[in-house]
Amino acid sequence: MTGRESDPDDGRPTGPEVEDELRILLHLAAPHLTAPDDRMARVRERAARTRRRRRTAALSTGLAVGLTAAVLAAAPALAPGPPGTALAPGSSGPVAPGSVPPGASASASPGAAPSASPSRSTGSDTGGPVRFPELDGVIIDIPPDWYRLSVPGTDSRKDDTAYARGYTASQPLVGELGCPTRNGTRERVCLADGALDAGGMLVGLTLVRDPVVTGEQKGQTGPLFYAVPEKSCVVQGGTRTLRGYRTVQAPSGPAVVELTACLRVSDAVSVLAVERILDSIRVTGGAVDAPTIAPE
Amino acid sequence: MRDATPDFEEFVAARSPRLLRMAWLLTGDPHLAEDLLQTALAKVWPRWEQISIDRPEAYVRRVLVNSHVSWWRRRWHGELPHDRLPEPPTDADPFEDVVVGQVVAAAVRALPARQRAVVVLRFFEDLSVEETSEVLGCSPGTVKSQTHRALQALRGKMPTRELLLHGGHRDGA
Repeated sequence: MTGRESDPDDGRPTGPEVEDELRILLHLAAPHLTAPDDRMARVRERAARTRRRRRTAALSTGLAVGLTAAVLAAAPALAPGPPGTALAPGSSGPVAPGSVPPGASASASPGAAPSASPSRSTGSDTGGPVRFPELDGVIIDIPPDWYRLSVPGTDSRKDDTAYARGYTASQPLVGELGCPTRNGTRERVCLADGALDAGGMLVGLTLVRDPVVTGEQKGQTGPLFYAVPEKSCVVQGGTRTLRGYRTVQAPSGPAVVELTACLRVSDAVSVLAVERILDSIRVTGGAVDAPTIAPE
Repeated sequence: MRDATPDFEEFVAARSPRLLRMAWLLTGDPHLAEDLLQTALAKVWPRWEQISIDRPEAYVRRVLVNSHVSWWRRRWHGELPHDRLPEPPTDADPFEDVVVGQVVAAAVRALPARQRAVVVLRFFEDLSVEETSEVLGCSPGTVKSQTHRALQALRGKMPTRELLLHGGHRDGA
């Protein structure tokens, strides 16, 4: 670039001609991108999600003392075990690594009652179909030795979105009471080990009930795409976030399932594993119910 | 939650294309640009009734830029998968718009977030130094020095005027 040089205070260090050139270049470079049809619906969904997070954060701050006392009292039961340990559904202590949690791989009917308020995920020895009761029975196929957990929504107001979430991960998961407090807030679910291992993955599922979104996303079969990692992913050692959508015919009507995967490394193996989960999203067929965390 | 007011939807419909292009210049990726725009709109929507009276676009622009700087501070500025790699103009066919676009985007994307924001606001959005300082919440002097550093950094990395005049323009553009 040429032109006038130097005084940083004049704001036009390289001359007006070069600035005009830069203007032209920027306008040439910026493409005219196509707007998604559901942009407004997604904006509404994000705003609702943010509002919920803020309410949860405020609640967490207000109850910090009480929760701390509760955690300390329940410390023996909630303390994370060594990597690879898992709780059997309804049990209160870790089982030995490599052992089969009783009933963890047993098949369950769609109407089966959820496990009794577990605070940790259960492992799946062989992988396969897992149902999230809190997500209108959405089923996914998970890889062998992955963990799963279902969290009910806590928002009693009728919003555009449902806030229940389903989780599956390559490492054990714990509920909110087992998660560290960061900046006065806790995640609803976090990794028992504190961070993703090399090649570790944490996948979250949300059922979107917004009729606008479900209408416009009907038949969604789009691929995964990279999104900016959410803070909740970064604090758990994630460096990449993948997101994807699928439409299902839930018992309560058509709904869009949003999948968000937090990855330590986005290598081909990890991406393929997430793709398989995304492509396996459905609501029919036999599956094991993911344990449901009791509302805090 | 209240429904979006017609004014907000009208604003989104009318101004999003321009804001999306700005977001693309900030992020260098179409998906991230859409993500950034939606993030900004979602932040603005609950406060729309308060801000829509006075220069709503300036407010949205400010939220958009600050959201991007916030993303940058989270230290995620790794590489993104692309179908094609941007190539320097000397190695590629310099007379294709797509190459010009990619080279410009890569040069701008190499700037730190704050400098990138200054470049986009001043030279894409055509804001004055004072308006830019208002959006970024800093002094006009900071905008001037950031502009200076950004232009220094861009020197030699951008296609030349010669290229622009003889090979970089779209037909009929």
